[in-house]
Amino acid sequence: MTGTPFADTRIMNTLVPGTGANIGMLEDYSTKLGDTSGKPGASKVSFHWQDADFPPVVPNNVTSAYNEEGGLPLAAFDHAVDLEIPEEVRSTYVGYSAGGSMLGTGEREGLDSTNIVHVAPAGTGHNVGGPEDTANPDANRYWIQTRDDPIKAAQKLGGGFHSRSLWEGGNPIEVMGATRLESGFTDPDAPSSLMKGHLDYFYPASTSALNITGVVDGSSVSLFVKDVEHTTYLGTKVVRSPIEDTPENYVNGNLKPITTASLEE
Amino acid sequence: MHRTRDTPRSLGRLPSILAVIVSGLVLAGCATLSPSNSQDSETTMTENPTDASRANFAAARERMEYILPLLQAEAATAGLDMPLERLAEISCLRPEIEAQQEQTSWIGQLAAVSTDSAQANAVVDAVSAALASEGWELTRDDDPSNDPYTPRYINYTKDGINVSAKYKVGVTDSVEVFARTQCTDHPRDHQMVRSTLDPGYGKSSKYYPDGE
Repeated sequence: MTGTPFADTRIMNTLVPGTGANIGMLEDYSTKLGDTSGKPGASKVSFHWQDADFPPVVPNNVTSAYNEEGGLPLAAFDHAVDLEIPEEVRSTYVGYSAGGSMLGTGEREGLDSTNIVHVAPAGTGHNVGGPEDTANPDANRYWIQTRDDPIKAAQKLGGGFHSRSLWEGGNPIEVMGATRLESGFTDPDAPSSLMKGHLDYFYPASTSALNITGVVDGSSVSLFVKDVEHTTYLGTKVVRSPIEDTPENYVNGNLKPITTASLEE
Repeated sequence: MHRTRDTPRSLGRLPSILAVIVSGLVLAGCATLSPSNSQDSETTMTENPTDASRANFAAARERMEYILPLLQAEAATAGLDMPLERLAEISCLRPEIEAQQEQTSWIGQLAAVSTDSAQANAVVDAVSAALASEGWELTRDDDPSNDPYTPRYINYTKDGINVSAKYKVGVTDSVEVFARTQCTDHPRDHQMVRSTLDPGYGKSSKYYPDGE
C-alpha cells in the first residue's frame, strides 16, 4: 500500500497481478503499481492486491478455480477499503492477465469501483457476460491490449472458465462495452518501440502505463488506433493497422490525448 | 453478496472431447506468452553494445545525478517541492527472463501534486529554462493553450538522455519530470545499481546490492 486511506482520500487504485504472481514478485509488482499510479499524494491511496493464489503458469489456469478462489476475497477487500474512504472517491481497479478475469469474478461477488481497467485479461470474469453481472454496471470500463497479445486466444476460447460461457468468449469490448485505449510505445517518442506481446504494459512512462495512470488520475488518455480497411485494385479487402504501418506518425505527442471526463459522461 | 451462477447446462453437456480440444487450443495460444514474439519492441529501442555506448551508459548515472537535483532546485525556486521518486538502473527485459541485468536503462523521476496551474506552468518553464541553459536540445514542446486537459509537455535530449517535464490536469493535478536513457546491452556479469539519491537506496531488493 502507498498512502493512507482516510476521510479526505480522493483517489484509490488497486492492481490485481497476473499469472506467476507469488511472494517473490512483490518487488516487481510494487514497482508496476508505482509506475501506473501517478504521483503519490495525501489524497491518494494505492494497493497491490495479492491475497489469493495465482496460477504459477498459464496451463494451471485452464479452469475457473483461481477466479473463484480469488474473486471473493478481492470483493471482501473492496468492502473493507470502502469503509475507510469517502463514497465519492474515484476508484480504479486494474486487472492484468489472469488477474483480469479474477477481478471480473470479484465484481460478480460485489466489488464496486468507479473504473475498471482490463489489461490483457484472460477474460471478463467467470460467469460474467456483461456489466449487468457485476456489482456496478455503470462502471467506466477500459481495455488495453497489444495487437498481437496471445491472450486473445484465452479470450476467444476460454470463456467457460474466464467469462460467462464458451460461446460468448471474453472480449472486453464485445462483452463489457469497454473503451479500448492504445498500448502504444514503450517510449512514446521512439517509433521503433511499438509495444508488442503480453509483458510490457507497465513499463515506466510507456503509452500503456500513462494511459492506466490517466484513468487512475482522471486526467487524459489516448484511444486505440483502429485498423483501417483498404480495397486493393483486385477488389479484395485488406485490413491494415496505421500505427504498425507508420509508427512515426504516432510518436512525439501525435497520439492525441482525450480527457477521461469526456469518455465518462 | 453472492451472485454466482451455474455454468450453462449446454456447456455441461458438451462432449468431453470438445473440452479437451478447446483446452488444448487455449494452451497453445497462451503458451506463446513467452517473449519470443514480443522481444522485438525492446531490441529495437536498444543501442548497439559498442564500447562507446557502454561508456556513455556508465556516464549516464553521473549526468543524471547532476541534472535531476539541479531541476529539483529550479522547481523549488519556482515554488514547488518535487521529491526524487526514483533514480536507478532498471531492466528492459521481460520479467520472466532471469538475467535481468543484461539489458538496462537508467531512469529518474521527480513528481509533485500541484493545486495551482500558474505555479505548475512556472515549474515547467523553470525546468525548460534550466535544461536549455545547460545545453540540452529541445525536441518537443506541446502547449495546450486551447485545451486545459491536454498535458503541458516538453522534452529535451543530450548525451543519450531524454528529459521530459509534464503538467497534467486530473482529479489531482501533478507535475512530473522524467529522465531516461536508451536500453543498453551488458555482459552477463553486469550488476544493476541505483543511485544513493534514490529513495529506495539501502532497502532490501533482489536486483540491487545496496539492500544487502
